[in-house]
Amino acid sequence: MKGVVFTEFLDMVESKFSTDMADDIIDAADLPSKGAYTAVGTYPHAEMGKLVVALSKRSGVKAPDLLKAYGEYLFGRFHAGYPVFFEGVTDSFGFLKRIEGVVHVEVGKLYPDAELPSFETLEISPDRLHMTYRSPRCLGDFAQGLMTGCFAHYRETVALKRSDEHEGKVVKFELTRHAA
Amino acid sequence: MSTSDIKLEAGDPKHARLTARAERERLARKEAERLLDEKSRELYQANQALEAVHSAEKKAAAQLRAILENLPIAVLIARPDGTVRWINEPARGLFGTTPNLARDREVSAFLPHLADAERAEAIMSAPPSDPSATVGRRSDGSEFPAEVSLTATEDPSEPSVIWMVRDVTHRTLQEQRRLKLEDDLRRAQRLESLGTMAGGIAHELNTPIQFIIDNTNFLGDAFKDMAGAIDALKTEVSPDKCDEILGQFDLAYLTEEIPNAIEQSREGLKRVAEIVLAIKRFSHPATAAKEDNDLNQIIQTTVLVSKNQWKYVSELDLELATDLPRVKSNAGELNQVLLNLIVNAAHAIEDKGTASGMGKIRIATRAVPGAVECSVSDSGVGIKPELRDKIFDLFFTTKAPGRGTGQGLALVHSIVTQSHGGRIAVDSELGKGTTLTFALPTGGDAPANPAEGG
Repeated sequence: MKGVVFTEFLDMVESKFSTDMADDIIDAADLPSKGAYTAVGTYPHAEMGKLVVALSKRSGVKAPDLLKAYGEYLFGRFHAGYPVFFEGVTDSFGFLKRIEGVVHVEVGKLYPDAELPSFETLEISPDRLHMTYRSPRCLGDFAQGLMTGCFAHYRETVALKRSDEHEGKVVKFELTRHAA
Repeated sequence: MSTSDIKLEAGDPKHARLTARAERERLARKEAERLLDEKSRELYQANQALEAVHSAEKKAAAQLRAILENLPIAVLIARPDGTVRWINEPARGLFGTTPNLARDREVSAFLPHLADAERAEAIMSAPPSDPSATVGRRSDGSEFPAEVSLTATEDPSEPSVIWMVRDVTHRTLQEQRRLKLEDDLRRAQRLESLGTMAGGIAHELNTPIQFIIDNTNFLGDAFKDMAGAIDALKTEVSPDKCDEILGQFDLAYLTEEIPNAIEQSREGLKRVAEIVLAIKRFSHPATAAKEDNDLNQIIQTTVLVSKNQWKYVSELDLELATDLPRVKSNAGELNQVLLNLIVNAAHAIEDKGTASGMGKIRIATRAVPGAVECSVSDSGVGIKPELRDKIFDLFFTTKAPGRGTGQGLALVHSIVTQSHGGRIAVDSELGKGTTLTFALPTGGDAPANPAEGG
């Protein structure tokens, strides 16, 4: 998993909780990397699981909710760091449809070793989109957070129906956009 | 408060936490530096590889450009909308243009019958593999027969249609020449067969004609003798009785008409004998080798043989020089020359129309220094001044389809100038008539140009 996911996570913990909380969960997680992350590095994805579990224990917030919150937070950071991916995109569905064919293609060029999940989209109608997340890392909650971050960014009201399959390795989202 | 104001003791838990955080930051920085170094190396190596690829691509592009510029075929590279992106040197030469003038022009400006935009799109999806025959257009508007092959490039970032154009003017001309040669050969074979047959018929006719002439002469002489015998009988038998008997047989009428009938038969037979002789001469021009021939006799023979071609539209006058030297020539070929000139003259008169009376063909010969000259004049439609330079061109004709193939005067020119080393000239006045004059050398030197010589 790319280091930027860890550094952004710890930044969020520091901003939403405290610097001490970030130190605490690093200590508690007993990480091989000792939490010395750099954004351009690559680290075992299991460390992210350990950090989330440690944060959940200390904050009392359930791990899935933490991952969703992190997804929302990361989308904002993503938009600030990579505005080129948003050029010409006017709504959330338009962006979600570009993830697989544009965003991941560009990420793959920059980081050939990146192991990216797949996002398959099926447009049912202009306001209905089916999206399927597939990854052995089972980070459907994180993906959902990114999606809700996207809806918030475009100031859209989107109803989300979710079904998990294969122990969370496949998550199907049915998205229905409503007028604001 | 600045960091220099923070004072912590070694046993303080905050000190331990800050130390751990500093250690993490140090480790992260070292990892970042290691990654940066690693990425720098990778970038350098990638740059080196890229430069090598770029250099190889530059060489390949230069080679490809050299190949394209020196191909023996014109190449136009066009965009999908049918506009020219680039053309090679042979294409610039072929179409008479420059890179700047050609760029962004429609391909249809160069290939008017093929290169429309709609077709270009079809070509992009399924380029035809076989060359197509079409017409190319130069920048001056002139056109030439062309053969075009097409292909489309597979590069999606810059899709192109490649037009390969070959000027097939020379090949077309060669093909026409080959067809003409085949046609000439077929005609020659046909004429040879007809000549052989005509010669055979003439030979077979010659013998009975001779004894018919002899017998007619005998009948003429015999009738004279019989008339004498009758006159003698009149002296022996009573004149009244004799007149009574002879009157029963209308001898007066017979005595007057039989000599006329015999004389007319003799004239007819003489003409038949002349025609048979002419056919023999025409169909059997001895050998292909040149012999000393009498041009006047060749003219008379051809006039006789071609009579059916001109007698309905024209009178024909011969003004043949009596002191004409013999000319080393191929009689068969000269028969062809004269036949073509006489037939052309008759056609020209026919085209003008005979409402105001029969036309006139005049054939004259004369001796000039080192040559004999023959002119064939007609009172036909004449030749337009702008066409006079073309009349000896192969396949040039102003005659209706089926009446002329444009080979006759080309053949005449070839026989006179190439086969006999002679000269030929044309003098014509539109609406008044045409005179074609040819001169054949009697010695080694080529004769003066007949147009200049008189």
